[in-house]
Amino acid sequence: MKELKIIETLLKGLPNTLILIVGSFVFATLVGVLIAWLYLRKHKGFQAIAKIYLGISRGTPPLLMLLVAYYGLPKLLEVVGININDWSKMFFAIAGLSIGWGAYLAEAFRSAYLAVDKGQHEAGLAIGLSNRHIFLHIMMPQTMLIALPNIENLLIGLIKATSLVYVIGITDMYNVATDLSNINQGVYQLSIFVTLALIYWFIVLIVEFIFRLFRNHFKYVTV
Amino acid sequence: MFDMKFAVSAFPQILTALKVTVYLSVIAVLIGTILAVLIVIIREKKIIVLNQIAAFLVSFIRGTPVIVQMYVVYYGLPQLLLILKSNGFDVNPNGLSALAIAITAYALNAMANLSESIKSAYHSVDYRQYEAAVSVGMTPFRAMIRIVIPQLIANLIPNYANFFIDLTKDTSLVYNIGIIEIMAKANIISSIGFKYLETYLDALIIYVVICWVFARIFRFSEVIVRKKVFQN
Amino acid sequence: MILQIKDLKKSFNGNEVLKGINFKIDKGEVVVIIGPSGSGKTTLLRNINFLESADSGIMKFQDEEINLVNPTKKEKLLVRRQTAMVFQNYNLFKNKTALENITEGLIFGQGIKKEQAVNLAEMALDKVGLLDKKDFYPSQLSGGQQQRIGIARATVLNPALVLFDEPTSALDPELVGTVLQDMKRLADEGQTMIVVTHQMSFAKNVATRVIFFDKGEIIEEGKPSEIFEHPQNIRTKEFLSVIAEDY
Repeated sequence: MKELKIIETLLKGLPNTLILIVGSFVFATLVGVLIAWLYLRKHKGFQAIAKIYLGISRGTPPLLMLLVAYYGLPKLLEVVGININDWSKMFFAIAGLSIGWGAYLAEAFRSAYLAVDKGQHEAGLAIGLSNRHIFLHIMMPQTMLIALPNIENLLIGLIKATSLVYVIGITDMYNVATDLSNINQGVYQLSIFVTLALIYWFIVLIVEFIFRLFRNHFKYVTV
Repeated sequence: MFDMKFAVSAFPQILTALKVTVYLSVIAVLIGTILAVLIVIIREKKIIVLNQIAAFLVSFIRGTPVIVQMYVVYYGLPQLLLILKSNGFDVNPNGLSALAIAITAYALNAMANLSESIKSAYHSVDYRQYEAAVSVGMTPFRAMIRIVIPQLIANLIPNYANFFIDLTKDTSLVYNIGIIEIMAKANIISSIGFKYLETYLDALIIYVVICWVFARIFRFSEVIVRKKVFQN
Repeated sequence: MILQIKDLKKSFNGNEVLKGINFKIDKGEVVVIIGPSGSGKTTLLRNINFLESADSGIMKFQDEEINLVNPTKKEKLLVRRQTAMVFQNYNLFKNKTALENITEGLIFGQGIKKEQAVNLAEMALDKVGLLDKKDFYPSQLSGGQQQRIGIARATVLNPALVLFDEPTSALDPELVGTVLQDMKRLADEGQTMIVVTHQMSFAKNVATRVIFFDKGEIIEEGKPSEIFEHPQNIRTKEFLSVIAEDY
């Protein structure tokens, strides 16, 4: 049946899509934590850097971010004498997506951290816990719980954004679909894209399911 | 390395495409808002069958990439019109402009996303407000219009603004179906001499500025609405 | 002598909140501080375990003399590991169970081994009658239960001094009684306590000394019978006359 053949072909792009999702999410989280940390410091300079970064990221389409990363990073590093022109396209894709989503995650982390009850920190101090312990064992877990819905939405947004890497020539699921569609003129084009949409939707449903499990596990911890 | 002269001269040329971007965003969001309200009403009143269809549509559209949705509409809308025509409706499947397709796709996207925002803004209004209103004799309709909806709008603006800005950024994909907006212009100009980084940075600046302008406008209107609603 | 404070001063935004406080407490004393809201009582308490910083003043804690203006990390830890605070809003760690709330400080603040910490924590919970709730999270417990766990957390190692910052102000009236009972039991066991509260019955019946605090200064202090029956200062008299007494 033609439909199964379509699914089979589209799934060939799935590995790349998944690598992009996981890789970008991991690096975006690292970037997000760093920027949130910068923004939360009392240092005006650090805050300014964070604000500028956030302002530019939130005003740039992901497509453009990928393109600017692809064409811009090599030129930028040329200035300090590093040549990355031969690096794999995946690197640029992950870099572009991470820079963009790092900004959104930073905002999610920062607002969640500020929402944690200050009394929690004080109670920790009063019983003689070190600042480091309070941060890691009391503040951070509660921050993550508060940020969870936002993180879920951002991850889903990231999954959808991976479809844009066609613009730097990576063969992910979306790119496979357009290739397939260009080869087959005619009535299959609609079913190719509907099938592709369903596969993405399926991935998103799995993510939503995992987050729901996570939320259930912590349902007694109301922060 | 980096051709500053080219970047500067290309800027005004790319800027001319801004109006297409803004036009597309505004029309799609307006239509999408109206559709979103319908969806929210259907889901809140739990109208059988329609409720399930709405829930499915919302989940599906929110769970798929915009660019894929665009192509589904691109290939699907003419076929839909074909089916309608064969059932006697007076429509022309061949006369579909790229702009019409883009607006349809983005309006549907807006419908799905905004319905969620409106739903949560609706639930964020304290139910006791409504109770108080009907207990002083207002009809349910009046209570909604005078008490609930204004507070809903005030709470909705931040999410609405975020989505509007996201949609504006997403219009950067319509060059794929032949509409000349900012990205298309940037691509056209950059192909003269392969100066990609310069034109893309120009485009980036334009997007950042227009998004910032929209953000300001929304923040300003939020202040006005909050004043009017909560201090009146 | 457990604690002595000399000339503690603190201003917030130009407002003098503490105007040079001199204060002393000996082992076994139960000092209750009463006074109008905003008088600075809580700020005084929070200066003792350095949750607030002072503009000037010296503290003598047992044998250590500590400058209240810029205490060192070591000095802060010293005081915090030998004192405890019970907060108005309980401040139980929301992401930890009742038991873990107590063991957290024991293991990571005091360096006690896990097994022993669990034993101590279970005994402390049993003392406040909440051992069966040891695996519950704060969100699953009533305010009164949370506060009693807060007290258990504070007293598990019999600290030299326990600070109570309006411990019953956030509780529904019917829960106040159980918490006050636990506090009375502690007092009877000889725990040194400083209590900031509006519960006059506690001040009358349990305190060994009552301090009336107003506008950043100690106006009057003495035995409960002296303060409540024969207040000397006119401001004390005014305050006591407007306090509505429920029980």
